Amino acid sequence: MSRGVLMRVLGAPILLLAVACLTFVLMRAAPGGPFDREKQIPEQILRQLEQKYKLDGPVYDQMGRYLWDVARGDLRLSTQYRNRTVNELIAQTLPVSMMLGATAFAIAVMGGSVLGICAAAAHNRPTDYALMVLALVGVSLPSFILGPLLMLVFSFWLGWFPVGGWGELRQLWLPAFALSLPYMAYITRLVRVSMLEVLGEDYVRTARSKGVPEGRVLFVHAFRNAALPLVSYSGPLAANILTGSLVVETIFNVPGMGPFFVNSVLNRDVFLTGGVTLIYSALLVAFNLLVDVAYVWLDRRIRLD
Amino acid sequence: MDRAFLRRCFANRRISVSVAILAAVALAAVIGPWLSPYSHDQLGPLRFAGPGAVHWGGTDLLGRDVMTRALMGARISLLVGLFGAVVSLIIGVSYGAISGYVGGKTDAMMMRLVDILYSIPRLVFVIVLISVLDLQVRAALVRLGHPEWAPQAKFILLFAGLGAVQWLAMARIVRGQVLSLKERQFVLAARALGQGHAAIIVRHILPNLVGIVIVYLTLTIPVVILEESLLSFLGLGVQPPMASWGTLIAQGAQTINPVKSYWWLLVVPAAAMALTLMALNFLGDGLRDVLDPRARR
Repeated sequence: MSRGVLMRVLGAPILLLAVACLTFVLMRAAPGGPFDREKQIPEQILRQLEQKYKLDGPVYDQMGRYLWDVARGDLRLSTQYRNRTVNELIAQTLPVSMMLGATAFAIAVMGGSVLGICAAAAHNRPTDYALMVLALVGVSLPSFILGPLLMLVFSFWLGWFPVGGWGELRQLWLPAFALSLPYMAYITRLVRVSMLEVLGEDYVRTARSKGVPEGRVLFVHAFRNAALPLVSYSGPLAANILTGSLVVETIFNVPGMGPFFVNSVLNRDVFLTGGVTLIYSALLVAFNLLVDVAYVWLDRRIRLD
Repeated sequence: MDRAFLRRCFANRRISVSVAILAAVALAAVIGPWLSPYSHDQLGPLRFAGPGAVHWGGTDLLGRDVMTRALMGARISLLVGLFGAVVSLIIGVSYGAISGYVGGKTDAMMMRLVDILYSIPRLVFVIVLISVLDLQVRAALVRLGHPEWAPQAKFILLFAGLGAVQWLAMARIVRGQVLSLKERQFVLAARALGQGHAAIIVRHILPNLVGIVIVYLTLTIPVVILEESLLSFLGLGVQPPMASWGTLIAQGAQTINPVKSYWWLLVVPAAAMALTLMALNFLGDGLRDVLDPRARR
């Protein structure tokens, strides 16, 4: 196990450099650049701009210097936001995205687990059916449909939550909920299935027969073993929440990395796109590593090699 | 696909209901805009008219008929979903079949690559890829002598790009199946009779994968539709005056405001899309129950 994890930890920086390399090549190889304007910029000024942003010389040379800077933790200047470094922009927006993502993650996992356990406990009874229908509806409601609908109902018609923005706790709930609901629905289904499997096992019968309260049987004895599929789903879940947050941040006007990323791609802001892509990838790689370790820790029978 | 199989499918209520819904959506998408008295980009005198007898789905800021636009959007979204899923199918099945059939070190390497690709944010790359390659594909189309296709460059990129990132799950599943199939006796017999590897894969292994491939194809279509709409929602996918569900929902979301909510702009395309996604998810689940009894719970 330790060897597998070690390999991955060592491989991660290489993977991230490959990501930086790929993004840079993609952004630079295509026609058009960050300094294209409606009006043609004089040759001399263009050359100076390129020099200032270190985009002069042949592409492979630019890339080499960029990778060297990235390796030292310098993500360079944004070409769109004058004189602001990408590091600065990310330092400002990443905590916001992390806060939103972590809340959505927690809502999805906790809500989905509780609902899934309830559905399994009421197997083939009306509660189970109702929850499964709701879960199927939820799975088919992506956050960019759910977000505006929630805004319409809870902000404009009922007035319970603010329309958007960031800074107060009240402004967190709607975007977090819009972001987490489809995955909460998916987890409900996942947990229900694995709970049903576990509930048929002997040790659950033993626990019940020795008089352990039903709630404890469900939430402690059974769920601990039924949680493994949930752990392996949390990797893809993090990836989905990450891409989902691009949209949700745009809808609810949350100053996270998402809107900056979309703008940077549209404006060919090479280094901002590269930096944000790198951060997104680093987050996911780190999280997946964490999931693998947790998985092994939870289930000694599975070996990582 | 024999008759007994079809009978089993239609005995499953989930499958028959979702097929009916999908058929209705597809039919509406194909003939709806043609039957409608309005065209999707025709401006009308009534701006922001609510849903009623004249405009079933109301009108938007420019007086365009929302229902007709949602149906045109359905065409685009369904087309992208279908083609994207087929692209993912081709890549996923070939990759998985080769990896599983060759086995050994090659298999380990190929699957390691899939693991790595799983751990990077694929959609983020699709966004970069599509917006960057747009101009190049346009230029290439003009050079190839099809300038009339140039405005559709984004479209082609959407098919290819979304399909190209969705093949990972398919590759894993196909590889697992091939690993067990290649040890079966009929493969041994075919090899003993002197058939080449390509022939064994195409004639003996792939036909046994049809069931599971159909299930995952059905489950991939909604994912591709979703991602296309997500990109279009962000303004990176289908460009106006063309409309997909994503662009329509984005417009709907922009026009709602506290003073007066033009809810139909949002609700009509959102309902169409949610219904389609739901039917596709139902269908995939149902097919999985029928075709892959081991996965039944």
